Amino acid sequence: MIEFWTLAIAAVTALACALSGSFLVLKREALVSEGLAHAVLPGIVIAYALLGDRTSPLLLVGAAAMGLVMILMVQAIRRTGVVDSTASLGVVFPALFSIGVLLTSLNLAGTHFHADCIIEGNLALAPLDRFVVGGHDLGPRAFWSVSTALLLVCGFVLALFKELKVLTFDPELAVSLGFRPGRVHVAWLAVVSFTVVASFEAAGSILVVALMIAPPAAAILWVDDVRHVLGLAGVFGLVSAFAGHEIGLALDIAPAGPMATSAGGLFLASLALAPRGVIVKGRAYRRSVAQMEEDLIAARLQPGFPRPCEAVRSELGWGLRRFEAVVARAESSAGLVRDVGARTLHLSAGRGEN
Amino acid sequence: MIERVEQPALEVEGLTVTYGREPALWNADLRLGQGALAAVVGPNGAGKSTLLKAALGVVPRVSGRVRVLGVDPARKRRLVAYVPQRSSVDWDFPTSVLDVVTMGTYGRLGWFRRPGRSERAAAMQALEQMEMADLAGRQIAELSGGQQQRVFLARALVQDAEVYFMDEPFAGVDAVTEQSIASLMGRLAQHGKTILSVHHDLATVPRYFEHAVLLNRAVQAVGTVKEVFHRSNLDRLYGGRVPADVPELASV
Amino acid sequence: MSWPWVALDPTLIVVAAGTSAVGAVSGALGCFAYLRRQGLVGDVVSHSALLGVVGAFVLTHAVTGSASRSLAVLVPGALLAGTAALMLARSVSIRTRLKDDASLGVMLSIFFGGGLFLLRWVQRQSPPIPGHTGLEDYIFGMAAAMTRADLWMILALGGCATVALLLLWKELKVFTFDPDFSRSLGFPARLLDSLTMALLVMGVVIGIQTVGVILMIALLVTPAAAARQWTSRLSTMVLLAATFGAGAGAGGALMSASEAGLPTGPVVVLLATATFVVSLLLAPRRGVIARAQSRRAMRDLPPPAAGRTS
Repeated sequence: MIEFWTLAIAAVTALACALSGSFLVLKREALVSEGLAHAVLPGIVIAYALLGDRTSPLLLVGAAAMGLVMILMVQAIRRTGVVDSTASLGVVFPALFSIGVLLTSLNLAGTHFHADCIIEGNLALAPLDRFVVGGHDLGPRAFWSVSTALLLVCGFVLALFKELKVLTFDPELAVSLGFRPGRVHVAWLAVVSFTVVASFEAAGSILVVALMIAPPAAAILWVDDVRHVLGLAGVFGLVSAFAGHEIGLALDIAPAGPMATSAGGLFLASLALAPRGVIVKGRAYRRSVAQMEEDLIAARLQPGFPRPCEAVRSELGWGLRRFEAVVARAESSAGLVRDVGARTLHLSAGRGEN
Repeated sequence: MIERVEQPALEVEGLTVTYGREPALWNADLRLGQGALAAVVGPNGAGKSTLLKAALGVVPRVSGRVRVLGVDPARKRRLVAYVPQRSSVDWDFPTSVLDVVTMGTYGRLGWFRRPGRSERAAAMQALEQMEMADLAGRQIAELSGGQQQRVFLARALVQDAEVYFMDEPFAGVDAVTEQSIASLMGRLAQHGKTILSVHHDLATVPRYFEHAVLLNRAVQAVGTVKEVFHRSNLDRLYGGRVPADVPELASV
Repeated sequence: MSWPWVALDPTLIVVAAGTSAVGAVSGALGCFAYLRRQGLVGDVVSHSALLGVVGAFVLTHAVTGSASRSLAVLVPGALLAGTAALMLARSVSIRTRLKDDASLGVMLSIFFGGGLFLLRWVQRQSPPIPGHTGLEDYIFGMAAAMTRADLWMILALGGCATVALLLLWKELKVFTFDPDFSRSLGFPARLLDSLTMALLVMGVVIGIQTVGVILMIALLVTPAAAARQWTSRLSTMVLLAATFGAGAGAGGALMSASEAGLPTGPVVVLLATATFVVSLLLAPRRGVIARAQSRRAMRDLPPPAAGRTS
């Protein structure tokens, strides 16, 4: 049963992260997830100190608010116009994280946080921490919190899909259409922040970042449509959760590292195999360059007028070996003819007409 | 070479560049004599900036040969100078006007050597030519668009090259700067320097340039403005969408 | 216990010297990444370095039979992993439709996740590999563990980076400001790009032992962002960033020594952040307050007769 709940928590976390991460990756602000994953730490510690109750749902809300605070701080610094947005993110999130680590180590609140849990979470223990309402055991608390996050993400995406899409691809259009991109964006980032916090306990910061960025990035290499990206990212997230969990069990180590690595592995596999991955694209590129090379030789000849090889080669600025290779290809495919002494080139008679 | 032929200042042959499936620049041939003042015109995405960058070796090319006074400029960088698009750099970079202009001497200095008094003096002189000497110590973030462009031109002047490649030097500058850039180009050409400049404003081509290169991925025509810059060529170049306020040009 | 007493402790002198050297070098090297708007690249390098550190540890154990945690072994590993992560991210951004943020984020996940993976595996080995407990410290940093040998290593690497910076100042400057122009001058872009990356990796690697892989980013970006506000000269900016970094480093080491249980890394980061906040508010001309004042002064002036010419 514990096994079941562990997997269920991992799966729901993976889905919630992959779906919310998709829009971050599409909007080219993937590293915001890295910022959030660190910045919520002081939120968690402070909310815990104030509430004194680790099981209160308010803890999640309070911590998520800290994520939002980070976003607003970054925006405020960027708005001064003297620091760009990447750098302001790079200033703000380590500072907030430092505050979190200091508060933890000073043990102000008697928090039980251990350094490892911040990075890796504690998926193994998560199923033991039950959500009990009125004497009824409703399952692990972590499952309920990540499920809430998943519902929030899905609800937001379903309700405001059009707005999110416009906001993601064309924020200026969003303004002219009368959407309030600022508000929708901030609301969306609040949902993302909540997802980060809810996933934090089970997954830790590294896994949150990995699950938010790697599955969507892999999906984008396969498909174009936003809906398909969301779906495929969800699938990739689930697969990494299961695979990482199995590896963790087999080696008897915390599953966060293996899950993050699995998500990365899926990305690398997509990079190699997907239609927009490096191998397929690279091959297409080389093929089109090879075609261009043949066409270039033909373009420097006129039908019926032989020209010295050396002149053509020098005009194209190619080395001897490259030139020979292209001529050899073009002789068989493009109707290029080299005379017997291999000194001049001309186009065969049929070439000029087609 | 048996008979002595007039050496072209800039000779480009078979220049081809691709960023993806389609070539951005196709088999471009181009020949300009010393003192030629040439505009590169063509629609958006025609490869105008790419032509300049490929000739300078800033972007890799599929094919092509470039000669400046018969020499490969990759071997002798001092022969060429480059004025990139003003918007291509971050003007909030912490440096002064004089510093940027001094960068024009970096190529001549080569690796490791630092600019000294003579380099800074050369930079000052170039700034004076651009009527910017009083702003030498100014932080570049405080310049107006026209002043930024003058700084870039001064930097090219310091390079003291034979061929100047300029990417939209007139973009977003005020009328006074436009005039002074145009007269600078004229002076350079009079001194036998060759200029190849990307230009957007068709209406001013006949006023500022003597030669025109009509480019739409491939070179469609090269020659003097009189020869090639007329309506039928332009309509073909822009796909029949040349705005009506372009002056009707002398037919040949 | 009060400050002067603590400061006399020779171990603490080593730690404080090392931390401030780290702050100075990474502050100076961070300026170039900051100006290229690649501040977060340092974050990816530092996280990735964990895989290199643990990998080097495992490898030396496998080869020599005894594992070493000296910087002389771990630094090459970190350099290798950091560079590999950056180069992979770069090539993904160039060759696919993904942009820098996604490719960097993925590489961070892979390398840091892999580093944790390997670390946990090492810790599970029985019989335990001697020295493996200290590896954990690279995540959050452990300045107090700095030895004299580590200090020499930091000074040597920092010295190399400084020499490279001085020798290639002009080239790095023109490349950072206007890469196309620098290429047209005949300075190969790929070489200069690799060089700036190598310097960044160097700045990261010498600091991770002190502040840890997670917070290292702050030592690269924050002093640079603070220094930028005070000056419009690159050389002054680099010197100032180095000074801010050194100050935060030394201050952090001393403060954390004066209070038991205070981790050095976060204190260093918060000191650097404090310099940034002060700079953002108070710097002449660029500072928030100075600009608000000049705006007010402009409003009080009568409007100019003619429109602003550009």
